[in-house]
Amino acid sequence: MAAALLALVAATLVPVGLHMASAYDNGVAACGAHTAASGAGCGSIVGDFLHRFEHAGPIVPWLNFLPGLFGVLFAAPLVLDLEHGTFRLAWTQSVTRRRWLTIKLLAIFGSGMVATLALTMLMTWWRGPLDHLQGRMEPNVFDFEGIVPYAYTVFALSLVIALGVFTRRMIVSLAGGLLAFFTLRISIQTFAREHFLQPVKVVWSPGTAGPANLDRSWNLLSGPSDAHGHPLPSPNQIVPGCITGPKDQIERCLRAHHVFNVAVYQPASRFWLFQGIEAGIFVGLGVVLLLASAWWLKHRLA
Amino acid sequence: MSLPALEASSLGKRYQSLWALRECSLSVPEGSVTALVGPNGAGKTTLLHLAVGLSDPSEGTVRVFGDSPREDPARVLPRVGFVAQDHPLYRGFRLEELLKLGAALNPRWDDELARGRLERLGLPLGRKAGALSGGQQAQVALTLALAKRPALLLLDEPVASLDPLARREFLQSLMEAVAEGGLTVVLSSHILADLERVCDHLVILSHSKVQLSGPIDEIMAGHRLLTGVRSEPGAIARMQSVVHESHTERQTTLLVRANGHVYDTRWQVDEVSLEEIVLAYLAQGPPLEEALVAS
Repeated sequence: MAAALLALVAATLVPVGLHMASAYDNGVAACGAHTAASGAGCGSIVGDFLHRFEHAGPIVPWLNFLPGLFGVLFAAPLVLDLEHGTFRLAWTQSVTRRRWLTIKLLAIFGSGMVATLALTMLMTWWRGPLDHLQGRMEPNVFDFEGIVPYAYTVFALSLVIALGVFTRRMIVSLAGGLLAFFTLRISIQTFAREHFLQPVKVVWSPGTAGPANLDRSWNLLSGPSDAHGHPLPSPNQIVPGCITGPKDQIERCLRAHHVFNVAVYQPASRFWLFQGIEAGIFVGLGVVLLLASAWWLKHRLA
Repeated sequence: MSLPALEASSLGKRYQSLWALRECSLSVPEGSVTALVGPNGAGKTTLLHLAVGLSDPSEGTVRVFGDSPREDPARVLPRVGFVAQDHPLYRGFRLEELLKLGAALNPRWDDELARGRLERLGLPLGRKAGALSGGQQAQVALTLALAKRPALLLLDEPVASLDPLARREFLQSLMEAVAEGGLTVVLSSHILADLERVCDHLVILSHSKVQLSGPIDEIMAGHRLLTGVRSEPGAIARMQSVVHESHTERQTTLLVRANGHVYDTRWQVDEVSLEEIVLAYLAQGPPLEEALVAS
C-alpha cells in the first residue's frame, strides 16, 4: 500500500520535475553558478524560472504527512496482532518471543526506511534546480531532504507501536499516532527549529553589500530597520518621498533618513547541523517510546 | 520418579495491587489429564499464562518439565502446546497457510497429523479461518497445538463458547489424541460436567488460590456426605474437616474430608459426586489459609 502511495506521489511530481530540470539546464544553471551580482540578464532569467516553478508542487506540503502514514501503515499489523490476541498464538509456537519481536521490528523499521528512502530521493531529485537557487533551509524543503525524513518515520513507527502496546486498540493507536505525530512535527518546525542556534542578524546600509547567500538561507525576518536592527513599520509612511526616482537616489534618500536593511536568518551552512539536531530529537523520542514499549510488553502484557 | 509436567511453587502474580494468583502450589504428573476448575476471575488464565511464559511471576516459581518458561523459552516452548481463551487464529489466513505458519515456527511439526485431523473434521484447507464457526475454529486451534507434538498441552477454557454438540466433539477429539500416548493435558473450565468424563486429576482454583488438587479417584474416596438430624452450629464446629454444611428445617448435610474418621452413628454416611465436591469447595467464601492437598 505504501508502494501505491509513493507511486501516486511520484506520478504527480515526476513530470513537473523533469520539466523543471530541463528548463533549468537550458540556461538557468549557468546563471545559478555565478554570484548574485553577475548581471541583470541573469537576474531576470532566474527570476522567471523561480516564478514559473516555485509553486509547481502544490501537493508538497501535504507530503509532510507521509512519514506519519508510513508509521501507521507499517506498524498496523503488529497492533492488529495485539488487539486480536493472535500474539498469544504467535508467542507460544516454538520461536521465542524475543526472536519474534526482533524480526518483526526489523521488518517494520526496514520497510519504513525503504519507503522513506524512496520518498527522500524523489523529493531531493525534484528539488534539485530549486535547491541550487533557493537553498534547502526553508520549511517544506528542509523536511524532505537530508536525514530528517528517516528520523520522522522512526518516530512515527515508534509512536504507533507504543500506542498499540499500551492500548491494544487499532483505531486509537493509528488515529492517535497520526495526530500526535503531526502535532509534534508542526510544533518543532514552527516553534523550535529557528532557535536551534541563535540566528544571524545583519544590519546594512542601503546600497552597500548585504550578507552573501541570503537566497539560500532560511529567512526569518528581512526588511527595513533602524540602525540597531529593529524593524520599521511601513517605510512608505516614514519616508514617502524616497521610493520614487532612480535606484541610487532611493538608496541615498533612505540613508539620509537612517533607514537600514536588516536580515535575520539561519545560513545555509548550518543545514547539516540543524538536520542533526532535528533528527536527534525525533530519533531520541522514538528510542524512548520503544524502550517504554519493551518494558510494558515484558512486565504488563500477558 | 519422572519430573512433573507442570509444577508451581508458591506461585503468585500481581497486577498493580490486585493479586490474580497467590500462593499457588501444585504438581501435575506426567501423563495425566488435569481439570483446572474455578469460577471466572479465579486465576485459571493467569496460571496457564504463567505456565507457558506469556507473563512472568510476581513471586514463586513455575516449572515445565523442570525448566522455567520465562528464562528458558527455547527449551520449553517446543514442548508445550497452548490454546488461549477464544482460540485466537489469524482470521485472514487460509487453513493451508496456518499449517505453513506452524511448520515454519515449530521444529517438530507433524504436517501429516495436522492435515489428517483437518480432513477427518471435514475442514477444507482453502477456507479462511475467519469464515469458520466457533467450534471449527476451536478444532483448528487444537490441531495447530497438537501438530507441534507437544509433551504438555494447555487449554484455556477451550469449550466455553461452543454449543453442546461441538463441545462433545472437541473433547472426544482431545481424548483420541491423549489415547495415542505421550501427552499430558491441563484444561481449564468453569463447566465441570464436561471434564468429569475426560479428566483424571483435578485442581480447584478459587479466589486466586488453590483450594484442592489431586487425583480424582482419591478425592472422591476422601470425601463423604454426612446427613443427619439438624445440629447445632457449635456441635459441627467441633467436628473436623467440614468442607461445607447446609441446613434445612429438620436436616443437616455436611461434606467432610474423611481420612478414615469414624463418625457418630447418628450420621448417615454416603459417597459424594465430584460435582458436589467441587461446588462445596467453590462455595467456601474467603480463601483457606493453607492449600489442601489430597495427595
